[in-house]
Amino acid sequence: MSRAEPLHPALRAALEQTPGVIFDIQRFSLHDGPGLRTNVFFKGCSLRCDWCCNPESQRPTPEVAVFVANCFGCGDCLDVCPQEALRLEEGKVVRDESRCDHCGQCMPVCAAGALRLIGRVVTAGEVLQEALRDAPFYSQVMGGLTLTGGEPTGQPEFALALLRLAKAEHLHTTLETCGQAAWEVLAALLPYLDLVLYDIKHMDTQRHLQATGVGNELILENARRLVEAGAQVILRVPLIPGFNTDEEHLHQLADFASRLGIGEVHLLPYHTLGRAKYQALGRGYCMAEIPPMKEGEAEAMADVMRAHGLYVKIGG
Amino acid sequence: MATEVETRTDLETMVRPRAGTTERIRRMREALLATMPEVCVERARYVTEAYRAHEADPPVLRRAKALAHVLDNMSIYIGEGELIVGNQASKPRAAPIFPEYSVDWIEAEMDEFATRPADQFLVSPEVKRELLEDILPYWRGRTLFDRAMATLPDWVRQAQEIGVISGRGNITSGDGHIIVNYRKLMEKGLLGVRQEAEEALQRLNPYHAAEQKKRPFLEGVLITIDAAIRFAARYAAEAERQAAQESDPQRRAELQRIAETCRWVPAHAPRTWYEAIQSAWFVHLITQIESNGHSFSMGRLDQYTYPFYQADIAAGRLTEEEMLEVLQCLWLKLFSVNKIRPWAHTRFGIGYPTYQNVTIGGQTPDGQDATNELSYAVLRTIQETRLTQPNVSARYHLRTPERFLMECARTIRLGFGMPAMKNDEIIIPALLEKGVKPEDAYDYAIVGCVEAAVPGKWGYRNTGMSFLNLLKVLELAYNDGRDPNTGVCLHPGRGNLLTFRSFDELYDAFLDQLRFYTRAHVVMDTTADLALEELVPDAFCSALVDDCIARGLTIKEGGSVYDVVSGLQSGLANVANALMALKKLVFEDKELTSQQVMEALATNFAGVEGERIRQRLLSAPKYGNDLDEVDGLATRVLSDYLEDIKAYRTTRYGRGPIGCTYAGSTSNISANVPLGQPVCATPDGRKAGEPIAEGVSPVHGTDTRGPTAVMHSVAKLPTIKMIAQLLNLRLSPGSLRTDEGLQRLVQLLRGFQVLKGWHVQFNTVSTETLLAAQKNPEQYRDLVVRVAGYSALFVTLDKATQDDIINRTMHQP
Repeated sequence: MSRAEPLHPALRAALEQTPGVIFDIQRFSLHDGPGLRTNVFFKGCSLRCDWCCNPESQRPTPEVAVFVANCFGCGDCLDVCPQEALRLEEGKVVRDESRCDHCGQCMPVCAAGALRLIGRVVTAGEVLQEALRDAPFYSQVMGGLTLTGGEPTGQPEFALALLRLAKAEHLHTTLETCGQAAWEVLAALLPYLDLVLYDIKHMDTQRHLQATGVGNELILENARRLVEAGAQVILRVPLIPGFNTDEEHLHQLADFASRLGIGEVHLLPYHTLGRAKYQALGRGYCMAEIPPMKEGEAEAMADVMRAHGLYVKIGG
Repeated sequence: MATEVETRTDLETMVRPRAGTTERIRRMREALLATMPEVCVERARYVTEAYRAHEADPPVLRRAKALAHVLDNMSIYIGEGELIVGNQASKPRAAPIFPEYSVDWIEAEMDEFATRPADQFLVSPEVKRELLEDILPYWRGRTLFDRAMATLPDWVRQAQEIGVISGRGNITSGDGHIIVNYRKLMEKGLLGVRQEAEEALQRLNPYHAAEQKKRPFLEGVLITIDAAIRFAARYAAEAERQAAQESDPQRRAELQRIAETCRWVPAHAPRTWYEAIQSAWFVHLITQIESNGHSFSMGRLDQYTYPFYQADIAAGRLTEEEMLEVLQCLWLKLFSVNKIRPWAHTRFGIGYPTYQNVTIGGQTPDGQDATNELSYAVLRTIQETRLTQPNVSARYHLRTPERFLMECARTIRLGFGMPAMKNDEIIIPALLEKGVKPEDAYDYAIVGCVEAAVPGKWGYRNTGMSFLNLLKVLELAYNDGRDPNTGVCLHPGRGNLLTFRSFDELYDAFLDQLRFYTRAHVVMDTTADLALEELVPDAFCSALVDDCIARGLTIKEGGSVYDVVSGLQSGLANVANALMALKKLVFEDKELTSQQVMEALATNFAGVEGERIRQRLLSAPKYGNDLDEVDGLATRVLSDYLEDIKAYRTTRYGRGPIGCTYAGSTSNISANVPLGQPVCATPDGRKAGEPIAEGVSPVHGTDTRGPTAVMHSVAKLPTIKMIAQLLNLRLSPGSLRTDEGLQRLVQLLRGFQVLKGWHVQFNTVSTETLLAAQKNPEQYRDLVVRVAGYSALFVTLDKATQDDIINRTMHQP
């Protein structure tokens, strides 16, 4: 059980002032922890997964995204861009990715909302206030605050401040993490966490390295230590066809979970909802060939893992 | 606003029979759904005959005799397999004609009834001939509508013509919107009510003019009650006739039971639950034959019939399955009722609505939880019959059992928008605030869609005499009081957008226009009320509303215990958004000049320049996102209106009822579409003629922060001063398939309760809607998706992802 401590006013003030970079606060989130939740999406991630549905989360700093469909070709942005990175083609804005330095000066003049700055600096106090708005909705099924991203452990002071403030308000707290963090960071957050949604992408470190940019040793080790330290952990696995969905691998995952004593697994079927975001960010989407999963496929995979005595849910 | 809930509401669920539905119900339901509505001439024929025969009678007596003549002569039938009997017109789903209310439209539109864009009715050549030759000529120039138009002040008529107010419904169709005293019916039967009327008659002072004026009403009560009892006896005779010919012993027994029942109720207090349902149905039906108007509601069916159910179960006379079948028979009967309205009125509420409401759950008059087996049975009946009528409202309070809310959620998931959820925690205080006694406030029920009233004690129409188009008022305010469409100026303004030097000047000009048109809509109400009182008094309905008999007054004369009404304020969200955009962009940040805005509005945002300005206007904060500044403007507008309307009284003032005041109501069904038509482009970024927002719901596509934010915005409004409030949330298919998902819906409802919202109704998104969304994504920016770990923030901006979401939504199980 997490710690709900009364905060000394000076400490509270310090915690509230802790800055962080986020790209979204999403209310009425239904799948990232129990009940109705407010999700805080941290900006910056230690992995680079090919299938990432929140590519805007990866860079740690704010960046400009271009939603071409919204542009009606007024051309106001062309005049203010100090890098001359913008031009009009067939009445729509086009960005020269090599020139744009994401200064964001184009954004305020864009009436159409075609140019948007993703990511903003906030304080933990501001985020808490937003999260508390929906407190009336949290009470029934332990709804609350979820830190996700991006990778919340990439901003450890901010994450810690938020969690301590949230616990002082008796909110239920959840951390969604890829686990690629120094153990000390996780250990510091743990007393203020009610639930950890712990992502494991692949049990084979080479495959993990190829798809995400890092090996899985630290991730698997941290999972073990979290469980040992008494954290309530749910294993989350993105189901990526052709990568981690073969039966043998599912057995390995299930085996890992049950040996650790993790009882619950969430399988998150691959989807293409992130695709257009890549376009807006001027990046390529390397999953273009893979169609979204068919109904029933995920169910069969869940059954493989259920055979190990795990409680397996599809979606969160 | 969209959240994730399973839908599959479309054809599949409409057609697919459900486990638990009996073969009888299945057959009757299919036949009913396959019936094309038509026009039935019988009521019009007999009413006209009776009016002709009793020219010398005072109106109330003449109408009582007309009702009796209809009930004695109209075709009656007992359909195959029916357990509950009583028909409104000669065929199921056929609509009777009420010529005493208005006839012009019947003549003008008759040829298009079968082909108009929505709510079509077949008219046979014989019916057409009879109407045109025998019936309509008698009524020309002497209907309710003719009277109202003759007495309506010219400036009010003009206000209606330019689209600021609209009160057509009441003068072409009359009142409706009532729950009679079913509890009293259960306690003493119609003969008990008749006894009261006789005693009241005997008490009348023979030489006191004011008292003698009450005589026709009380005599009318006797006439209509006797006619109602004879009407039931006709069904008894028909059941006996069919029983004599019936070879199936089971059906014969049913018919014999029907005969026995119709000989006993509604005359006497019921002896069993089955008789209680049959009695309530007869009375509900007769009130809808007596007068036009819609939203006749059955009140708290699960409460006033519950003692009979308990007794039957205890005595072993009834099983739960039998109860369910009878309840479903009643549902089919309620669905068989139909109304035909002029096209101009039809547009304000599409889909053959009759707004017959049944209220379940809630609290007892002494504040205990009232949820019982019948409350659950009603939910199961919705699940199994899957019909668009009756409307079901579920009251919930802090101690409402979770199981009941979960069952409500399960029912909501089917996509019929039912039950609509009503929050006791604000509605009861709102009624107390209006002077309602605590035991009555706890006993409230819903009339029509969202209006709260005390059953059997409230007058007609606690909401909705006339619409006030707030957005049109704003448009007049920044055009110096002159309608840009017609050039009509009824109330000179205080300048225009170009001359206002500050937001306060704009707002003052708005308030000035608002006060003027508030007055116009009250005058409209008064004119309609006086015409209704004089020309179409209803003895039968009044007999069943306290204290009409004791006072010797019909409802319209001030017979009811309570009488609080409201106008219908429409377009609140648009006004808040428009004021916000002007305040921020023109007066504060000076990003736009008033000149630019006025030109853009005049040209309906034409060209790149127009679009640039529209986009700027759209970028201002919008109501429905839990943003205090713009939500505060909505609150301010509504509060200022309510402050103003406080000064007005209804025509019943000083004649007996508690209240006789005006309250607020934002229940405006589909009126948001026609009300948008006469309004040019507006500073909220809305283009000319587009619909305005419905109820207190945000403008479509402008609420991008999810339903909890919408609920917060709504909860900031002065809800306690309302008498009705309407919030529609759109749900899209997805993750509420599981019980865990349903729990989240329940959690949403509990949160709404804590925030003290009045009413919330969930409309699930159908495949058709989603296809429309693909064509026109801007209107569906609120169609948010929630997927684990996924930030949906930017999907609101991007067509491709919107398409992905729609595909996903459509194909998800």
